[in-house]
Amino acid sequence: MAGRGYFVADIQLPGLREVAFVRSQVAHGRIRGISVPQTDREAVWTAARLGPFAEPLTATSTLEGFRAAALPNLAEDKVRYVGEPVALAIAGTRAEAEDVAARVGVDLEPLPAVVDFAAALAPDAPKVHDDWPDNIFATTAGEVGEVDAAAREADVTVTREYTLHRQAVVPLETRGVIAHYNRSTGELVVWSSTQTPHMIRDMIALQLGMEARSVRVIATDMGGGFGAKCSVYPEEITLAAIATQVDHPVRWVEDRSEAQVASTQARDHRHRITAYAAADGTLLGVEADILVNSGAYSVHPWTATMDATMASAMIPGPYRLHNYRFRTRSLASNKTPSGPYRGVARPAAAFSIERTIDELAHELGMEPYEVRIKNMVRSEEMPYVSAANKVYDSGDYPEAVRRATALIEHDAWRKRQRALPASARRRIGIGYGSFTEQTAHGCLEWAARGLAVTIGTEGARLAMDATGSFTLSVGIKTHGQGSETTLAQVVSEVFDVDLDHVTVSHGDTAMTPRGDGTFASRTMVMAGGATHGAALALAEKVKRIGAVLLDEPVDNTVLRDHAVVGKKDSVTYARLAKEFLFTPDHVPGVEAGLEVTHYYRPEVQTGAFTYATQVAVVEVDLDTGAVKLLDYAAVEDCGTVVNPRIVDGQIIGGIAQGIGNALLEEIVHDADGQPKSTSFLDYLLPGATEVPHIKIEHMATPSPHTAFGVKGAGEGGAIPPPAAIANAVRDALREYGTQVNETPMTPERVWTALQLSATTAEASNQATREATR
Amino acid sequence: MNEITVRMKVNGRAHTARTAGRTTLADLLRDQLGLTGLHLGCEQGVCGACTVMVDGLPMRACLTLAGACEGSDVVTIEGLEGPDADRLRDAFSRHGALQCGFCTPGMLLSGHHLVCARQPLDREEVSVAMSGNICRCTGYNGIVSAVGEALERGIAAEEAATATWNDEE
Amino acid sequence: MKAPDFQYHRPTTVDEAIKLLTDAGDDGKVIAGGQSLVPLMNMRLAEPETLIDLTGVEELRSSRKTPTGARYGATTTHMMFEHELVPDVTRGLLPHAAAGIGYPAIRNRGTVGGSLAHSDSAAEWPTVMSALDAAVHARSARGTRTIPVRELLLGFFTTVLEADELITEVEVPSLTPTARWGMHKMCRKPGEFADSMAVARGEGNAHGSWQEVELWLGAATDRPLRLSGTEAAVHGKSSADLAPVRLVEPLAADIGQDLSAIDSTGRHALQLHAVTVHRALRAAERDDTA
Repeated sequence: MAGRGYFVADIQLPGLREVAFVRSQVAHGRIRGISVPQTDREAVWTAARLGPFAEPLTATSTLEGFRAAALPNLAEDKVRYVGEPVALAIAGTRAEAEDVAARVGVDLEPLPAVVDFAAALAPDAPKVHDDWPDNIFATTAGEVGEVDAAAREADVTVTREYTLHRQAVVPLETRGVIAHYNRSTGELVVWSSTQTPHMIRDMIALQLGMEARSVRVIATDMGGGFGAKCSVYPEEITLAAIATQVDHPVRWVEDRSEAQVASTQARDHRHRITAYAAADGTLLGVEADILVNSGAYSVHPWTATMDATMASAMIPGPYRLHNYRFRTRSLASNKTPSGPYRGVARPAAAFSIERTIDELAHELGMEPYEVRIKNMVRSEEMPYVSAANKVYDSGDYPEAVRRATALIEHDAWRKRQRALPASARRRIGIGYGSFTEQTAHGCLEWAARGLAVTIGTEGARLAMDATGSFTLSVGIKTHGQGSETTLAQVVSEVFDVDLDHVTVSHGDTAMTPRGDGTFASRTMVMAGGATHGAALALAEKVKRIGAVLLDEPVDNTVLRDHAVVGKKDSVTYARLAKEFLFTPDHVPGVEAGLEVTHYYRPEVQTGAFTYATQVAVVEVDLDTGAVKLLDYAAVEDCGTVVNPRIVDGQIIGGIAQGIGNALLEEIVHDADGQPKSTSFLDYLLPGATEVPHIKIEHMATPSPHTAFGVKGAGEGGAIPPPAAIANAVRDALREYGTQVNETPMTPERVWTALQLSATTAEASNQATREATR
Repeated sequence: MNEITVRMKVNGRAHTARTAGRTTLADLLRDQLGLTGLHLGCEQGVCGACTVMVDGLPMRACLTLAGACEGSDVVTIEGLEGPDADRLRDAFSRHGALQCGFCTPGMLLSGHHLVCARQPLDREEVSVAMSGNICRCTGYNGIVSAVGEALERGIAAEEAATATWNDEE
Repeated sequence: MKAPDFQYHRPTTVDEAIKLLTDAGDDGKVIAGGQSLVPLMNMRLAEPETLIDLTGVEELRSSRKTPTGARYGATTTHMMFEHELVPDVTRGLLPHAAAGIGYPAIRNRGTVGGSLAHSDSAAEWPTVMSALDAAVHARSARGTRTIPVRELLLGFFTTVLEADELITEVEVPSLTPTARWGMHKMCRKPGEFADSMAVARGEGNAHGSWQEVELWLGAATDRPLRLSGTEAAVHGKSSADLAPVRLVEPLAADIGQDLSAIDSTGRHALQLHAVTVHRALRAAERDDTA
């Protein structure tokens, strides 16, 4: 808070020069030629010049029928989205680099663009990748139980189509890369604002044809990531390659208008859901047809099918659903590649199932929260294997709903809702969104989704130094979640030391054991598990050393207040460490070394399931369609809570992003694929006035599968807000029967839907009057 | 390149800088004076991460040309000091008002200006007053609480000081 | 996102500024607060060769009352209106309008003259100054002239000002003690540009109905629009007699929109304008109900 943060843009290196990219201004086009003024030849790099030094990265998948396409470092023959890098310019300052970039001429033959779902699927659609038969990355399908039989049995059937439009991820700090090649040591150092330093290191080495021992990646302070910084990007490979060919370090800092087109984006889902239920509200079966518009390319390692496969797995939600059929199609289009964003597909999956649960409730005249409670997996059924073959590990899902109704004061809001006169030009609505979220999944889970890199282990190295203080090195990269604190807490618990005696080192591949990174709400479970393992092993050794020094049996010793305490005497860590490290001969019988590296791999591969129910209360302006949040509550269970303030921070921050998803944020494209929301003037983010004071309650049921029962907490907050808010708007407009099936719920969408339904309602009233006349 | 010379006081120290006419105050402070506490989040004046004080008022350093600050008194996060700044930083820590820290310098400068104004504000008014600073991590609840609390404590401290002064009289 | 290179000048007198502007010819551009121009330059949508910064010209910052109203120096900031550091002759309309512009940090720098010269109809001053029938005083080497704001603004970023002309003052006539005014800005979030903005001013009769009414609408077309047809529909009534929906037809006519050929986006925009005008009327009637 004194302005001492250290971000990529803040780094100063001797001789550092700045990079500006030339990016495609059209969504789809064939490159006829690139012209560079003679005087700028040295400063400008194109695909032709870069080619010999870096291979483009192709994200692959083991899914049947998956179509791969290389993600070019710099576009060579075609451009496939607005913002695709075509060339770059290097100069002393960013402004001068932009001057040079502006002089590069790109001669393009524009091609018709594939923009939306229908266009991508059209039989005569232009092809994003010329050698593909169509625009589909992959199709998956499956069925559990007998959906057709459920359909025949059903008393009520609802079919709805839901669309979550495209979003940007928007960490407030954009991406940034510095690459510096040290000729005398042969070491290539890359600073990147990335959530996954070890993965970036591997891929830079492979794409540049170097041995990874010569590549060091450092992730310094990061101004947020949220998924936008956990894929391998062409800019990282390109800058690294150029650094090996020039005699100075190079830096690129993404500006906001680049970030809005060149960082991976998210959502862009369309789900068609049919649900079958019995008259008492029992959910009998669900069918889901899932389309995801994944943009122009697959990014490594997630691929373009990540969202669709996750959506199909999570649509069954926290419910006892025995009959489920799905099909997913991941579509290629002339938009920015999609990547992970907080919640990955689950906000869309939750939107589909939760909106549908409410539609069933409305059809049956039941309170939507009652339909939830009725159908949810119960605590006595845990562990429960879901329709999508996920093992829900622990907790009491219905209880979260019950507590949420109390926390929001459901009945009081219902009263206020009814008290509004019909003549009022506003309506109040209450809406619920429940979910269960897979966190910290293991290798098999990623393999099941077809990933070529089956993430699932995490390393931690814990060392006690000669002064008795601790350094913990982990392979994850914390960036605002406060993982330094929570991981230090693990060490602090095991050794009974104050947090300020523990340093947590992360983000530098040269200083940390291998790890996969921070994403998928995995840090606390995986790095926490690794830390716990390392701490237990080191603690065991410290006790043995203490036992020798105290001349007492090990079983008599405990770790308490910075010391090994025996029955008769105690020895502080400071003294113990000095004795052992300076004069190991004083400690006979204990093997050398005062550090432990431990790798964690979860035994249960389908992860620990965090769950929650969130409730939104909205006011809808009937004249404008504007939606305002009046109240918001969340009851969640992320297992054992290591640090309540940090968990609350993750939940509230996630809800704020969910509010953006629900009401504000959308990358709008015109028919030519030109994005219209490339600045914060057009892309609205939630501000202090858009996020109400949020009430939170924790249930804290430990997971049986993880160290100290923790479950992931990073993403959950962001998952149900679109569903809860849409259900609240639907509830507010119930008298008109207005369908609220798209996000963001802009005033225009809500008002237009209201007009459509009001006209229909009026027509049906008219028909009734005429029939009874 | 068209160069200019600018003289300004930054955090109490006089500086004379040669720079391009097109250089913004943000780039001058970050690149030439090494004051990287202010951040560039959008360069369009929306996010507020570049907020600094110019002649006693919060302004967007990304939308202010360095040349326009000739003779000005500039305060950045590195120079934000005093009892109100201490109260605010303390409240930010306790209320979980920061996560990644990228927006924080701008938040503190905007919040500090509110705290110094001593105008009592309710939660909603604090939210409106802080609406020109975007935070992507915290969801604002902690920020609004922290600014509100620092403001209350500032007012209380002033009242206490006034009461003491009156007693002494 | 860095501005292209330009010659930068910061004169300290109006005479000096005008000489620089004259010398720069068509490639010169005036900058005051820069809160609209700098973003455009950062995005390289505006690439002036010479920039003449008025923030060093003391005389452009002074304001004074006149027998008929007040004259505000062109570089008076929005913040100075908001906090009434300059005289208000509009019974609160100027401070109210100023407080709605952008965020505090924007208001501390942005200026009234700059906003008028920028001529964005989704911004506050073009519509409000049109409604108040304000005028700008412009100077060039050829002399001075007074231009009513209603004639100044030609469209987005286009005014009748010549390349060598500079706005020096904005003159606002006083509102009469019986005049009522109401303003409403419709936007998605505080600080955003308006989706719609309306100012209603005029006189009511003893029953609170509008006797004389003048309605101005911003953000609908490329310049502020006088709503003559809608005024006729409002005449003799009060907002309570009129649901917004009844303003849609006259509004469409005033804006020049064909209701039968409108798409859903256009239809919603029109609805917002109707609601905005209605809320401006209601705001203007606040004293009657108080």
